[in-house]
Amino acid sequence: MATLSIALIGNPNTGKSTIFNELTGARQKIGNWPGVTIDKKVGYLKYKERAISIVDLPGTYSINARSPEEKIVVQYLMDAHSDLVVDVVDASNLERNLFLTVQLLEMAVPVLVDLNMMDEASRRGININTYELEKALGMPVVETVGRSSKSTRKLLDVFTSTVMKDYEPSALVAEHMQAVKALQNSGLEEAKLEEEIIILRYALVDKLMAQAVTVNSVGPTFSEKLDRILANGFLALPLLLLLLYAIFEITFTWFGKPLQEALSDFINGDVTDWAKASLETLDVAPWLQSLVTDGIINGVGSVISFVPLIFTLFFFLSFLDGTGYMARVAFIMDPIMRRAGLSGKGIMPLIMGFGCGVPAIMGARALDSEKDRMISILITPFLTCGAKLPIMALFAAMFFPDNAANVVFCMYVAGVLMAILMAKVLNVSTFKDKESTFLLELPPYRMPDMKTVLLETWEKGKGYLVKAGTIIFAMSVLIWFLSNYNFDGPTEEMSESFLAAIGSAMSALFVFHGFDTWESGAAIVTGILAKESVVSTMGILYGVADISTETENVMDTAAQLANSMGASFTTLSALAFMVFTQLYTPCVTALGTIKKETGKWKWTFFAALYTFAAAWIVSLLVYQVGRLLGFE
Amino acid sequence: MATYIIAGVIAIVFAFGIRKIYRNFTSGESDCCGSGGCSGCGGHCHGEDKLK
Repeated sequence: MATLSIALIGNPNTGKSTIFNELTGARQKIGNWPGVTIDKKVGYLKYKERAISIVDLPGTYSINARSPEEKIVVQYLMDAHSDLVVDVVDASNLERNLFLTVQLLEMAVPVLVDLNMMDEASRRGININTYELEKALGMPVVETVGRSSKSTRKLLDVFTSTVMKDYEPSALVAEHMQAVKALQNSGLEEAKLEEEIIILRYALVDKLMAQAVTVNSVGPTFSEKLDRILANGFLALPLLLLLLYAIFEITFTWFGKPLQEALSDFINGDVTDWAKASLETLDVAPWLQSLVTDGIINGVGSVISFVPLIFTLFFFLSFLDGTGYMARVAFIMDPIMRRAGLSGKGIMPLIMGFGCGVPAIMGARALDSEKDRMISILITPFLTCGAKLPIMALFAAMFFPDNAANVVFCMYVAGVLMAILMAKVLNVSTFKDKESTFLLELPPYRMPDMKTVLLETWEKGKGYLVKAGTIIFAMSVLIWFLSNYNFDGPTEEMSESFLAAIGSAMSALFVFHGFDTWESGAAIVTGILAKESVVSTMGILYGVADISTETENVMDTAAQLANSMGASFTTLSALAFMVFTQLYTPCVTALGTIKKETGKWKWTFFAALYTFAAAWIVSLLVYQVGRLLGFE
Repeated sequence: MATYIIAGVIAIVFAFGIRKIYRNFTSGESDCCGSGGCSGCGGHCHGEDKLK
C-alpha cells in the first residue's frame, strides 16, 4: 500500500486541529483561541488504498525558530520531509496568513494551501478567487469549512490525487525567490538582511492579495460589536465575573446539585443496601463486608456522586471555550497579570488549570520566556481543578447550604487571586527577568460545535470516572485498612488506628486553624495522593452509608455528613479547611509533571512545600480573622 | 469461596490503582492523557503515541 505523509501547518486558531480531527477521527483538543496545540500530534488513516499519516503542528505566525511553537515547526520541516505540507489558512484573515505561506514557498517544500473558514470570509465581505490565487502562487488551493466533513473529504481527494511535481512556482513567486536569494548573497548584516527579506515578503503578499482578493465593506462584524461590550472598558472584568458566577449558579443551584443529590441517595441507599444484602447472602467474611461497604462504597461512592456537578460545570466551560470568549479573558486579564509580572498569555495555561493542573503545567511551555513558564508552573496548583471541586461542593453544601454556589464561586476566585499574588511574589523574589511582550489575536465569536462541547464534557466525566475506579478505589481500600487496623491487628476504635496516628501527627500543624482533628489530618495526607481522596476519606471516616441507612428521612449526603461532622468542624473552621485544601500541595501526578517540565527535583520540592506554607498561612488568617470578627 | 474471589478482585484493582498513582507520578501525565490527546482537560498532553 502506497504511503503519504502530510503535515498541517498554519497560523494559530485557523482550525488545523478541527481538520485533523475530521480527517483522522481523533479527539484532539479544539479551542477557539490561539495556542491550543503546542506539541505536534500524529494521526493515521487509510483512503483510496493509501496509508496516510497526518501531523498536526502547533500554530505559528512565521517560521523564524524563536518561540517554542516555531522551533517545533521548523525542526519538523527540516527533519521530516513530508510528502505534502498543507498550509491551513484563515480565509477571513488571508493577508496576515499569507506571510507564512510565502516563507514555506521559500523553503521549497511541497505546499498545498487550504483556505479554511471560507464561510467566515464571506460574512466579512471577503471574496477570494481561488483560481487566481492558485495561479498567482503556482500551487494547489482548496476551500474548506473545517467543521464540514464533506469539505475535509475534499481535502483527502486532493491529497491522494494531486501530483505535486506538476506544480511549479508561478512567475511572481519565482521572481520573489530570486530577489531573496540575491539579498542573501549581498553580504548584508543579519538584522538588516532579515528586515529586507520581510519587506520583500510583504510586497509579495500585497501582489497576491491584489490579484486574487476583493473586499466589500460590510461594517463592523458581530464579533467587533460584541467586543465593544465584552472586551473593552470598565465593564469587561465585572462581566467576566458575572458570567462565571452565572455558570456556578446554574451548576450548583439549578442542574448539578439536584442530580448530585439524587445520585448520592442512590449510592448510599439502594447500592449500599444491595451490596450488604448480597455479601451476607454469599456468606462473605465480615471484614470483607466492611471493606466493601464502609471502605469502597463510601470512598468511591462519595467521589462518584459529584460526577453530575463535574459534567455540568465543564459543559459550560467547554461551551465558553468554543465561543472564543476565553481569548478575551486573556485580553481582559492582561493588565492584572502584567502587574503580577506575567503577560495575559500566562492566563491561558491557568484557564486549563480549572480542568486539571497537569495539562495546565504542560501548557506553560507555550509561554515565551523561561521566567513566565516557571511562574506559571508554580502558581497553577492554587487553582481549583476538577478534583478539588468535590471538596468545595461537599463542604459548601454541608456548612453553607443556603449559599453553596456563592461559596464555591468565592473559592474559585480566591484560587485565582492567590495565583496572581504568588506570581507577583515569585516575580520580585525568585525570577527577576525582563517583561515579556504579549500579542494576542482575538478570534471571532462562534457558536460552538455542540458535538465538540459534548465530547469534551464526556471526556472529563469519563476521566473522572476512570480515576474513581482506579486511584480512588485503591485509596479507599488503603484508607479503610489504615483506619481499621493498628500494630495489634484489627481495632474497633478508629481513633487507635494507623490512620489516626498519621492524621494526629499532621493535625498538630493545625491547632490554630480550628481543624486539628486526626480525621482532617488524615484527609490532608491522602489528598496529596489524589485530591478526590479528601472526600473519600471523609466519606469513609464519617461513615456516610451507615448514617444513610439509619436515617428514615431522605437526606442528601451533605446533610448526613454534616450530622456526623458537626462535632469536628464549625462553619468557620470548615471554611478554613476549604481554603487550605484549595491551596495546599498539588497531587502527586501534578508534582510528577512539575518534575518533568522543570527537569529538577529542586522545583518539585519547592512547589510542594511553598504551596503548603501558603495554604497554611492563608487558612490561619481566615480562621483567626474570622474569630476576631465574631464568626464561629 | 466468595470471600476469596471478591478479595482477589479487590486486590487486583487495588494493585492497578497503586500502579496508576506511581505511573502518573513518574510519567508526569494525568489520566486524561489517555483520552484522545487530553481533550478532557484542556489539551497539551503527549497524545502522539496514543493516536497511533
